[in-house]
Amino acid sequence: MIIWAIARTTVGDALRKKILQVFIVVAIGLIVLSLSFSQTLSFSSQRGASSDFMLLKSFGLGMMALAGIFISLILGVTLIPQEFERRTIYTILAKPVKRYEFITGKFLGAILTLGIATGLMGITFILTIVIKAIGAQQLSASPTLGQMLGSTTEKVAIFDWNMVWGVILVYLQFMVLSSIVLLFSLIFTQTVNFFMGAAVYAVGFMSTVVISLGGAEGANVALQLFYKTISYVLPRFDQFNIPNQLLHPETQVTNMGAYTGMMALYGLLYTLLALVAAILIFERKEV
Amino acid sequence: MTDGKRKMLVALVVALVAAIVLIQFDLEPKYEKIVHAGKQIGENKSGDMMAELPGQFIVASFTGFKQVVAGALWIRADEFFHRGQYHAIVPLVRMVTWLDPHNIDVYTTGAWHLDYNFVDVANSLSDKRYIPASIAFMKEGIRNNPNIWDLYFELGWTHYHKKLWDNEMAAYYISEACKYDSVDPNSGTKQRRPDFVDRMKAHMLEKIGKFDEAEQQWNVARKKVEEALAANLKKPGSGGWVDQGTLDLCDRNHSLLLLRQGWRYGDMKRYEQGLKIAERVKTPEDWVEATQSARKDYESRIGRHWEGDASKPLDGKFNASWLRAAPRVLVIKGTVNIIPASEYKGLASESFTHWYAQNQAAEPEQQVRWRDGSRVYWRLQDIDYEMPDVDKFSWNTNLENTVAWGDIYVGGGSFLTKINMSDPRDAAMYPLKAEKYKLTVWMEPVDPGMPDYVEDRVGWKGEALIDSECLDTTTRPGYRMLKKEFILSRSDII
Repeated sequence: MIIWAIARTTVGDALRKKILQVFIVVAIGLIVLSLSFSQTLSFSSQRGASSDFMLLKSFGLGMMALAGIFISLILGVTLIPQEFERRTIYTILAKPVKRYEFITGKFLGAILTLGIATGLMGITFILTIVIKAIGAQQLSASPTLGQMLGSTTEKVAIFDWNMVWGVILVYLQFMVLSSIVLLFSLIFTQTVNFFMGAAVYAVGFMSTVVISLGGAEGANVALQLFYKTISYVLPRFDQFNIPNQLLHPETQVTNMGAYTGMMALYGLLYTLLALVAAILIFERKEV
Repeated sequence: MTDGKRKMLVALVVALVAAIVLIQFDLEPKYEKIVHAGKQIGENKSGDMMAELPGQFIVASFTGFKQVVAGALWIRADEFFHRGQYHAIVPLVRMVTWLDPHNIDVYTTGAWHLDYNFVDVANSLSDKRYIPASIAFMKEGIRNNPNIWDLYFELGWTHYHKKLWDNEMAAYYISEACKYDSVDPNSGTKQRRPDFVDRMKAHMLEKIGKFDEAEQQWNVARKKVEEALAANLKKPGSGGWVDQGTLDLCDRNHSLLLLRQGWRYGDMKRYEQGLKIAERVKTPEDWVEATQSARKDYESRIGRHWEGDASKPLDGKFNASWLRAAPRVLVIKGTVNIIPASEYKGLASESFTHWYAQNQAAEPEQQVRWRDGSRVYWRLQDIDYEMPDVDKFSWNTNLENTVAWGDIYVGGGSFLTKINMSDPRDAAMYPLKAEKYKLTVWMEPVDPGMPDYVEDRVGWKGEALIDSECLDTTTRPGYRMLKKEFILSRSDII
């Protein structure tokens, strides 16, 4: 109950933050605006409906990820230090609230906030694609109209479940990033934490490059080990992205359910790890 | 928190780390499997080579570390190359050049990769449908780097000459290359253009029959070497890697250009000029002996009416045919009268090469009746296929088309090759979706890979060639080739 109460308060606080509201509104606005892209970017419409959808999905997912990463960083960075600055931590911990309950509650609040933001963006994203698909189907039903408008008459599915998987995977990476930033917030200052969190995300996102660097010609054993360690220790944010499957429906997926399940487990374990480490640190912190 | 609980949490942390690493090991192959679904990374049906560019690289490019990211991507491309995942390289190459448009190596390697590395399994033939994209990519590179020789030369030599057999365009781009020096990528300082670029321009001009301009170019190339030698005397190394051998190389090639005009067309003035230049070269011994022998031949011909070796007609007797050996397997075979050993008897070029004399002097069982090694060329394509306009940059390649070409070794006056399009792994390269196809089989002395001794007998442009059925003088105005064309229906092939 205590954890839930802290989480609810955290969600309320977070949603009142102007900067988070701006990020969500801008991201949603841009996702909606992307509907006009296929009409303005001639290269897309020349290549058929599937290319239009590829562009829309790619842009939508990209916007969600970008906004979500910033929200995760800003939220995570301020989550605990803010309580110290306001000195509210002293009154909270003076009550019968255990430290792990406080940390867990704060974190739960953060991921709930991210869930709300991702949900709003995700619904907008899926609706945008559905609207576009309905439009494309109408054109497909009326080839003459399609030709008049210079558009394709290629048939497209109205709803693709892979979009939902895509949104879930995007959310999972926000959760992992938030837990890391929360952990860092107990060690570093807010500014350092922001950049450390961003760096972890960037390196994790480009882990294929990190692996390549380890295997590059001329790399010695120590370097190879260094890059390999980094690629295995830092979260593999790149693997939360399945754009090829989502953007290219012709790609055959052999076991999408198993993969998503595995990624969810991976994300949860990583989150749990960061959370336990944060609890251990916070237990020893002088307050 | 009690000590016991803390220890338990620390143990949990260790267990979690182990679990995460284990999952990570398991995830890697699953990720590859799901994202690429058993296909080569980057391969897709649409032919849009940019479609699967990994998103993280696009995001990273906005961080401002453009060259760093470009370098990292290039390493990644190299890794894909060594793994044989050629389709994956293309989008990376594109990305690298967007990030770092002055990276010459990426343009040259990327375009070479497109031209040469998408090879079928059954015949080791490269996929010619990517050539327009390759050329467009090189042209983009030239637009981004217009003031250095490198990409002009590469486009002319590797793509137009070697791949498209288009010597006119090759000569144009290599001539353009000769207008520019290079820039050291490390220091940004101007660097001397390598001498081989200037020599190659002369060779190319010779190939397209611009003999006067070729001769002029040999003079330019030689002068450049002389200046470099002089610069090296003043300040060692300032003129680059040139020595007497480089100078002799220019003289040897220059003299051969003139001598061949003498031998092939009976131009005695050129013959004499060629000998004078050839006599400047004092090594190797074989060269000196050959030159002395040619001098005697020249003197023996003074005052005699003689129109050159290529003035004597040679009946090509070209015959080519095709048959379907199996579904999607074509066999091309034929005969061509190029070139019986006896045709070299008494040629002026013999004074220099002594090939016929040496053949006659050999033991009877070692004597050959044919001078082998010439080439016959073939091309199979959709009947209405035209190479797309390569001036407009596009990575989109229409993979619905079928177009392939190659060459066949001629031995003993006959040739034979099999075009196997039946391997399922090659299905994408040979879609065979058109109803009609054009199969062209031809021989042309000027094509790359044709030995000099063929031109010694029939002339640079095939002037000596005659053939009652297969002579073609219209395909390339001014040139004579032996050509046979067939129209095939889809059912003839599949």
